[in-house]
Amino acid sequence: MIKSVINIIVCGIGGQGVLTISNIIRKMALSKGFKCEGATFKGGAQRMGSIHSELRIIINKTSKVISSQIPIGDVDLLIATEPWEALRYANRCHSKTQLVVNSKIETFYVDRFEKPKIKNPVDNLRKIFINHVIEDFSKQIANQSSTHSHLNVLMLYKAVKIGFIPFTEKDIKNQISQL
Amino acid sequence: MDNNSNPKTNNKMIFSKNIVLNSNEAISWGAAAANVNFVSHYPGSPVNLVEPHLRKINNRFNKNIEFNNSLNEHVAALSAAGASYCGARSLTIMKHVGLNIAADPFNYLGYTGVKGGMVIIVGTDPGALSSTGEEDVHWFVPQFNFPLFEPTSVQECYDYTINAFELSERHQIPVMIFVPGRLAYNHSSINVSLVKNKLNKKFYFNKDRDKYINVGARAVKNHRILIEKVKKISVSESVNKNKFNQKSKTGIITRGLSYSVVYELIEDYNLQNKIHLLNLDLVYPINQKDILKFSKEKDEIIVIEDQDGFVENQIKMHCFNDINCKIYGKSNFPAYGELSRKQVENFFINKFNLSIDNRNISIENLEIPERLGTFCEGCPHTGSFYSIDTVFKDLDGVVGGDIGCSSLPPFRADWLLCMNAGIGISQGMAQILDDQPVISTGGDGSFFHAGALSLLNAVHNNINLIHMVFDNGSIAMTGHQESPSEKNFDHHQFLNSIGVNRVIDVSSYDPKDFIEKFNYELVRDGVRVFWVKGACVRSGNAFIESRRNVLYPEIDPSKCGSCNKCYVELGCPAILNLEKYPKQELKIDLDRCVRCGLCNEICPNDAISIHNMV
Repeated sequence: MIKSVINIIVCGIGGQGVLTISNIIRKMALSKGFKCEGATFKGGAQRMGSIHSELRIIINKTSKVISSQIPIGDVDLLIATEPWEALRYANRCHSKTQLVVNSKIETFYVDRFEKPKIKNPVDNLRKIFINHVIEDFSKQIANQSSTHSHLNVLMLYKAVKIGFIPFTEKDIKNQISQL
Repeated sequence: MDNNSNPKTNNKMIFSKNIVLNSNEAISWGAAAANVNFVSHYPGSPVNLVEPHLRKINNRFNKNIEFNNSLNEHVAALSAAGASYCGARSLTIMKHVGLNIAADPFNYLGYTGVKGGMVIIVGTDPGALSSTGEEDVHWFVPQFNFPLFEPTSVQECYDYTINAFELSERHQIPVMIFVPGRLAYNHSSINVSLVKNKLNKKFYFNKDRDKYINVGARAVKNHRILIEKVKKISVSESVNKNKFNQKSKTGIITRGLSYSVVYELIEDYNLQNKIHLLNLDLVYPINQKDILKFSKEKDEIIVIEDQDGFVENQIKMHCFNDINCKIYGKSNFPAYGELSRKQVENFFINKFNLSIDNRNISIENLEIPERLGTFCEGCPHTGSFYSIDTVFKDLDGVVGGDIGCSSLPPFRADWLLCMNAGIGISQGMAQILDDQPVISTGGDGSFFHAGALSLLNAVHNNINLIHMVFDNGSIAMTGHQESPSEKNFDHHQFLNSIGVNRVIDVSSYDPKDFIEKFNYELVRDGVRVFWVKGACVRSGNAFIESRRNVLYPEIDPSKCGSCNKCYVELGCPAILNLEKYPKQELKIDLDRCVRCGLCNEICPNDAISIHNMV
């Protein structure tokens, strides 16, 4: 059954392109005639702060009035450009939420003042979620093994390839050319 | 007014399209569509993007709008009133905390009334998503006695901006629109259209002492007129949405963002037959007739809204004796934070005894350290706070913090609460404390907002205080709006003229000189101002630009003494710890580094060197 509303959280650290891919997803949805609700949380930080964006794409719903808040536990797709940030929003997901996560850890700025005792977030993610694509996308970019030059866009292509959102690689290309 | 025709009915259309906009932009388009003539604002999230976007529309379509880039909300409010008194349509934009500053004039603009439509956009922030607090500014509204719209969607942000101008002119009263943070940055594709302005429009101020001079009996008379006006609006104006089963025994009233939350839950749980939903789009004054009609045959009315329960309070106040059913709301929902879908859902589950079997089970909450962020690489505040901390390290000194980038994470100052809290709180402390040295800090933005007056207050009261103005040349945090210091502002002349005799110029990129001068001034008396130069690295810092592609720094691990001065005390985000145990090894991430050279300046072991790029 096609879900009537697809709930997506895109998260990461300021500067990794979280807002850019949120915009691309939103524009792809709107250009296909879907309604899209959502909100962006930029926080107060200028650099290295958590940032996330909630998107709700309405595929098939008669009334078309929905809130911009994703119901707790109802996230369908989580795209995270950093694994700690993926774990931060785990409580918004359920065990079958599809994950697309960059495995490269960005240390916490607070590390330098106070050492937190935390274990590896990637292991945690693999343990909690059934459907996950956790790869070192940063490395793929660095090695130029990919034709896409940006981490965020590469991850969005990956999410589209899995077939979880009703868009094609061509849709992404179209939107990027309009940026 | 004939020269501000309704875009919906006019045929001189110059632009009409369906475009993707966020709510900030939608308000700009709405104002342009209403042919606004005058715009004043003080920047503040979540409505910081309205004015910049309106400028773009103005340039693109030659809308001939006059802009007032106000230095605080008080003057923004008054200048918009002035334009409106002359017949111009005026728009003024501020955030909720800014409304506190503008509250003084707003309390009396209702007395004078307006001529051209005057619309006030206020960004609210339930959940404090981009502010120092989440105060509920609804309580100002019955005090000002201005009609209030609360849009529930991006399209409504556009529509109600136009409606607000019309309502304002119909009743000669300013009209407010509240936009919460969650809605302000939401996007949607909306229909916009612009009509041609009438060229060479002349405005005129009709002198009218009865209206504009308010004191004693005149003020009381105008207050009476205002109350009568609002009473008339509450009868004649009705803007709301009536949904679902009108014959239901349970009625729910919402406003703003709670509408879509409740609407969605009603559909998700198939409660369409059990609930009659009323959303108030015109939230103040409430239309008593609408509420009474809605309450007919109801057993109960539940008001679901965020913050303090303004609508519930208004309904109880105005309809208490005329409604027989039970009215409640806030007793079931918290008055703090955002109203979450979860809270409303749990309420519905209990109330309607709903089955929750097919809900997804969420993963339990994990404790992840906060990632609050830091100053940008090469940010002038990094060097300034390094110098301050170095001097204050053993002195137990107090650092007064203001609003702006300098007070944001990593929280180097000792408090963060409101504009000019640095210079204000520090004065009281300086007068009371004997042993702890006190300084105050603040950016150039807050200095011009009202900090300069607070400084004059310190001079006036002979207070011994050092105040540091971090002059980064713009209102950096909200998007680099213009600051007077960018232009030909002579701070020496200005400060001398208000009685500050000791004005010390320092650069945030020269910590040795900064620390030396700071130590020297610390033991002196009177008001001393450090004018700290260092432009924002994200808006053309000439010092950084001259070095960025020419130099690069390097850490020599053999010389590094692991003192952590660069990594912790300076806290530059471009310096990374490779964590090669047992000895830490620091490295500079050259992709992040902007070549400010501060690490090189402060390294006591000469381990950081600066090289020329080959």
